[in-house]
Amino acid sequence: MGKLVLQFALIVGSFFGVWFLLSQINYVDGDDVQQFAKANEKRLGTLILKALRSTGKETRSVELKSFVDSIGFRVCENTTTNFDSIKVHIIRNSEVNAFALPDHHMVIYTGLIEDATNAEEVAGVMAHEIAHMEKNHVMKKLVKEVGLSMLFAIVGGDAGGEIIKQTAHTLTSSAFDRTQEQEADDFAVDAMSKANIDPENLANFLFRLSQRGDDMPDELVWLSTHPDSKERAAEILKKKKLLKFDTIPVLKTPWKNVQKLTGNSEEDDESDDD
Amino acid sequence: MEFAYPPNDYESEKASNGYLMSVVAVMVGLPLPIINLLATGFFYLGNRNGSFFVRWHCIQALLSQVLVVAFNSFGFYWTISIIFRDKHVDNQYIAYILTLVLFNLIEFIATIAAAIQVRKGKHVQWFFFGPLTNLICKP
Repeated sequence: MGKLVLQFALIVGSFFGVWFLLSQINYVDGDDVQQFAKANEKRLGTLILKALRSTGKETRSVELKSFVDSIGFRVCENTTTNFDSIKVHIIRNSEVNAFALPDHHMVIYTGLIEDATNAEEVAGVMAHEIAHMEKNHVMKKLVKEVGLSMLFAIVGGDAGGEIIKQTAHTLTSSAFDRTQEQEADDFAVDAMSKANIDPENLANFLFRLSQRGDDMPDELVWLSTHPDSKERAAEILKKKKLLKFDTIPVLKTPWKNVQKLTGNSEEDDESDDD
Repeated sequence: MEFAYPPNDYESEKASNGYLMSVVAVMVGLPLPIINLLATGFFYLGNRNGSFFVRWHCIQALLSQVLVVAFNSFGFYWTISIIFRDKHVDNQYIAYILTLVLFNLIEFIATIAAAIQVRKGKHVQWFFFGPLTNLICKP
């Protein structure tokens, strides 16, 4: 019996030994995503942002921008994230959407501000997008869905405007994979509770999104790599129960007053353009 | 190595087929590592009432598959994680796949060699799997 155990150990040992020896050879030069990100993220972020600006003008309302910035600072106040490193852009578009771009650019559509019932909901969405930036999900998603060679072509100026628009579309219209969305939700819940903002606001926002029927039919959710908004909202509420926090309002200004600024910004922009 | 008794031609053919089952299943089995094990397992079940020589070799073929399937399954899970989840190709992954290819190749060659020898009526006992089969399979 002892001989048998020894022989088994020899077979398994030789497998792991060969694996260890072969893994000493450098087949890939480190992490492709990280290397690409380091060298080209800034340029890629600028190009995608430029493409997005063609879908709607960026608001120049300093007041609205400062309200959104103060929500961002509040969300990050007890996290390791420095909100100064995040460049927020508010774009006039009726779509209820916000997304993270390469090089720490965050785009928020005015549609989202108009749809949110309070500043805390916007805080939740911003915390979620900050998580995608902090965990490098944006570059990973681009590499996976657009491909490294295409990204090189974009930053090298070899790809046409249509390709850049399609790349921007990848970031604005589709969710990250199930694990990444969950990671971002976990980060958001944690950041919100540390900043004394009730994470239930993010759950409410997601639940409202799911009621609009943008999600896939319930029967297909298990097949998808994209989590359903309703499912995410339920998960957030479950996590919230385990946390202790006080609830301190994010803004002193009534939310309706902030929402009115999305309309004012339109006038600002038009007068600026003249 | 001598067996307890000299097998007849029919027994040698049946026992040899036990090894060939796993080789034939390799075609389908590469993307789904469990297929080889299932094919060999079903062949054993079909012959579990066969003669001692046939049973002995079916069990040795089956046992040798279990270990390879365990290693292959982990490689399969790793590949799926890279395709569908947040994992990327690194040196460890490539080294693991190369190791899998090497061990599967050794197993493949050993299986063919055993099938040929067993078809001739010779008793082939593999390292570790032979003594283990002796423990499990009794006349």
